[in-house]
Amino acid sequence: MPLIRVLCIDDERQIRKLLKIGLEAEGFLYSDAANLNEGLDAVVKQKPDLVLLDLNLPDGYGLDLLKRIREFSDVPVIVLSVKDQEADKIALLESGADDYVTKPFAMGELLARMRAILRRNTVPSALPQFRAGGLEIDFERREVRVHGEKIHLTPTEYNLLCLLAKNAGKVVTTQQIMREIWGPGLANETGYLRVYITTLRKKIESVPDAPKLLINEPAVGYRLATVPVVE
Amino acid sequence: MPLSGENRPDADLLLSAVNKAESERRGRLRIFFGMAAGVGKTCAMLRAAHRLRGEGCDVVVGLVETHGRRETGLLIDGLEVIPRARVEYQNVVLEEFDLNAALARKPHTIVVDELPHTNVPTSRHPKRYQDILELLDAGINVMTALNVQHLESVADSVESITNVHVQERVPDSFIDIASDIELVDLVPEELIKRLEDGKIYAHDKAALAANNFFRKGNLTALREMALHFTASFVDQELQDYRTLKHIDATWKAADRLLVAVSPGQNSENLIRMARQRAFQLKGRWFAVHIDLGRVLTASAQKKLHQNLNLARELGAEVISVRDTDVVTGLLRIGKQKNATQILIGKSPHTFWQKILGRSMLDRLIATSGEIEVHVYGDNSAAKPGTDFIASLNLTSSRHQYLLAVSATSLTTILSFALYDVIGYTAISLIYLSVVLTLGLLVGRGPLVVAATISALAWDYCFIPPRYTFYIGKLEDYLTLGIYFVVAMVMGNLMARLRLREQVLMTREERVAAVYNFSRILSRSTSLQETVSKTIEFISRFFSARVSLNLREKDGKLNLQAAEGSNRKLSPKEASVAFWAFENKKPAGCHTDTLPLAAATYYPLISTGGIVGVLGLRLRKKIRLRPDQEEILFAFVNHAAITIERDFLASEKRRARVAEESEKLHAAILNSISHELRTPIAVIRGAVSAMQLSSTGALPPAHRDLLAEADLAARKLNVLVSNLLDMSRIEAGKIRLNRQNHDLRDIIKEAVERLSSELADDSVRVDFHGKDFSCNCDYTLLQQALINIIANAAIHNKPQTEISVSCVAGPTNEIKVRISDNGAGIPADLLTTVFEKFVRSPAASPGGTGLGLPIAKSIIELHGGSIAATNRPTGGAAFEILLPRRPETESK
Repeated sequence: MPLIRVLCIDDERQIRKLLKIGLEAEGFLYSDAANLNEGLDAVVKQKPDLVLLDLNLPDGYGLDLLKRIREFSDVPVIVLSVKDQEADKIALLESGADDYVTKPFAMGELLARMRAILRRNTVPSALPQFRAGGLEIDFERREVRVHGEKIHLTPTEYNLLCLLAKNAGKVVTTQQIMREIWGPGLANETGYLRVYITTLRKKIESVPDAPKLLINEPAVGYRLATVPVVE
Repeated sequence: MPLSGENRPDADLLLSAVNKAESERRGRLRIFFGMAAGVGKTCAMLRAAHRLRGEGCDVVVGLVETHGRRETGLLIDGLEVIPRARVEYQNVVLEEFDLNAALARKPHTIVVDELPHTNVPTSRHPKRYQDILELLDAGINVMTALNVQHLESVADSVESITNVHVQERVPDSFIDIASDIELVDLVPEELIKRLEDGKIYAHDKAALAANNFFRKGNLTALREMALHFTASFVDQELQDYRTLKHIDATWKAADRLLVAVSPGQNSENLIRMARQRAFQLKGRWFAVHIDLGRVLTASAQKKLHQNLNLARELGAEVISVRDTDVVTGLLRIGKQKNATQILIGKSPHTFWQKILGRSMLDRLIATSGEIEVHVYGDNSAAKPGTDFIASLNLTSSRHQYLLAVSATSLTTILSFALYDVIGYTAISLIYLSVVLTLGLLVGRGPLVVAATISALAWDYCFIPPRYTFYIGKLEDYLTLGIYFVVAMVMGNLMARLRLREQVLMTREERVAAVYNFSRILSRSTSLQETVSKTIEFISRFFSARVSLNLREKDGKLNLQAAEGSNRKLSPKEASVAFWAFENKKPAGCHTDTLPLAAATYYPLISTGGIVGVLGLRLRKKIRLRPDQEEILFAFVNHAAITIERDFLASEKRRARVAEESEKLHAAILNSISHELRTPIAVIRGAVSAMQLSSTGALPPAHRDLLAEADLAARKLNVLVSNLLDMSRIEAGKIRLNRQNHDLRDIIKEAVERLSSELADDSVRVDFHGKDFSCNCDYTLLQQALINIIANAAIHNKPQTEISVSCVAGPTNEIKVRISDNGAGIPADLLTTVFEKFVRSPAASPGGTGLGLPIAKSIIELHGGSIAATNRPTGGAAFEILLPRRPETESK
């Protein structure tokens, strides 16, 4: 397996150093950039397999950089943010970020997120099946099984689960879900989504009150876990 | 033409309709209206009160006169009655309606009988209807009763029909503010029968009353008036409705009436007539007094004030100007105010006008142009014979007469010395020059006196034969005659010239005074300076003592006179100033409110509302002339605008300081958030990287040390987050991102996220109810719950249960109760537990003392409340009440 190249764009020298040690120890090929322009340059020249992007850069916002990257590249991007930036997070996810990690983060959590995204990207996108934590989805037959047992889902429930499964490991914002499933006219009726999430959890989770698969990202959206969540 | 278009409603009209609608927030006035005493107004009113009370309204009786009528007495039973105030006046104890008690009681509706009643002179207002106005302003609904004869506009007609003098009168403008008028009607025969049965007055009075007033003819006429008035009120209501609802109707061109007011008796009737006319035309009206610069007798001045006040009460805009001529003055104001009609009383031709054949009226009609002139007849025609005297305007002051007499006497004495040298004919020229000189100094009256005396003195002392009035030669007759005519005509001309000059001078003085005042104020740079300059200027201008009270930041009046005032306010005077401030009307000396006060208090009203009160105390309580009062109003207006400007300027300064500090605050917050969080992120990242097995196996001791370091870093992160949250909340920087969520999701997830902290405790979560939907900020509310549950976990006895119960009833509130089995909250901390950095001594070290204050702030941002109690069985309980929707929305 070739080495995976990770580009970190962060203005804090200490964070870069920490990530360099942590990620190289885990077998990644690490490189970094300290600001927006260098970062953009590095993405173009080094063609990394994954980008870790800090939100606040000395010469601009991470969001602007992300938009420019998305003009020419589909490289997975994980955003490193601080708390209380829910609005920014939503904007980032809608602009094409794949996930975010809140600082201060545990190295284990960051690695788990990175691997989840990398795995999703290495598997062909038009995959006929989804499998995680006892949940199996057969897209061709439109069948869902939990621990091998076939369960019945309404069309809306199935569409919702498919949307999350196709973005598995990635946070899908509430607004994205609303637009995809209910159309732009009902984008603000988030109550519907809540109800469907509750019924879906009852059908696919073993303990619906402590969900391990259908994860709520408070005030941002939902995510279907590909591996059991690391706390 | 008036400026407003012909088919559009007048802006003033619309405004008055809107004002009426706006006054809905004030109390509603309901008038029970009847033709005479005894028709059953009081009974009808009390029955209405009982009805309202039956509907659950808070109704009290402020004052009801039973007049010993049994029926009325029975109706009062079962209603709360406010005891009357006992007022001592001139050693007699009188009972009066207790306004203060009524205001303090603040019922929904109050019954106050006998609207036209005149209060005891020491009361706050001279008239009861003014008491009622204050009740209405306080938002209390009032029911009251009124007979038609007490209405200002019909009182005169009633007098002429019934020959009974109507003393207690109510201005028609008061009736205009009524929301409802309820006519209580009775057939005259029935009323007379009730009177004979003794149901209205005690028997002895009845006979008297029947003779004078309660005749069928009188009653029929009164009934017609009452019916007519009610009908016109209903018509006005309809008009208001149309104006408010933009119902297209044929709008008359807005009429503006101008009525000429003089000190005359006739003027009063004219004002009433103008009011009725203005009311019918729905137009604005102005009462104009032209001050010709004559000195008025005390009684005439009083009468003039009465007339102008009457006009003001009836809703006119009062204007008083100085001019040499009534006609030019009226037309000048008429053009200024775009008047369409001028109303004027028919004045009898004066002596001179009879001779010259051209009356004032003729000239007015000839020069009025587009303005219509309406002339009203005079029913109290001036007696002929007084004409000539009146036309002479012999109303100059005494010292002018003295000057005239002494000047002619002195000339006579001098002439004795000159007689031998120049002869008697030339002496007439000396006399003539003296009379003409006098014309420059004195009025018309003294001039006539001087001309007459000098003519007589010349004849008696100098024309031969001397020392007789007999004149020998024909040419001397002729000379004397010509002398008299020339002296009179020339003197008069001089006097008129002088008067005109005086008028111009006062007009100029006024303009100069206002200009000076505005220049002084515009130069002032601070509020303090404006106040002291205003006081200084006004007190110098009127040679009076002046006080100024300003509005405080809380919107209340500062009862301490502002610095620079040259009079202090006693508590009693301060209360008058307070009244003027609260009611936005002048009060005190020479007004209708608290007239026994030492000074008059004028509210300083600017565009942004009232800014203060100016108190003016004149020497010996003399009264300002109307034109002086007008200057004062100009000063007061100007001062109000300037003070408001200064208020705004200081507010702006304050706002700028606040803005600066807020910027600084935000900058500090940002830097803390960045500078503290990055090192924490590095520590946590580094420690967690070392803990990963892939970085190589570690000795167990190092593993434990790293776990401790990781825990410390996490705690430090919580501390920094809490500090940031708290300062954000305190700076008002937190905006709720309200969306509809299910409270159950929020609670379940909060417990889930706390699972590592809750390892030692079991948490029981239960829900009661069906609908848990709540419009709230998911993240913030969850944080509040996490803080409270974590707090419970810290204090809970290990291995016992923490209970989270959520009750959603049908109301707008959801209750969440979190209770533990710990030691409970120490009694002295129960009230302070939600304050910052308050920590229970029993708590394990490491907390920040910020968790609960943050939770409380978040819940209060949602419009909810939280309370801490100790459970009887031990342990603490936190109870949260959370509204499902924000307050404003649920309304």
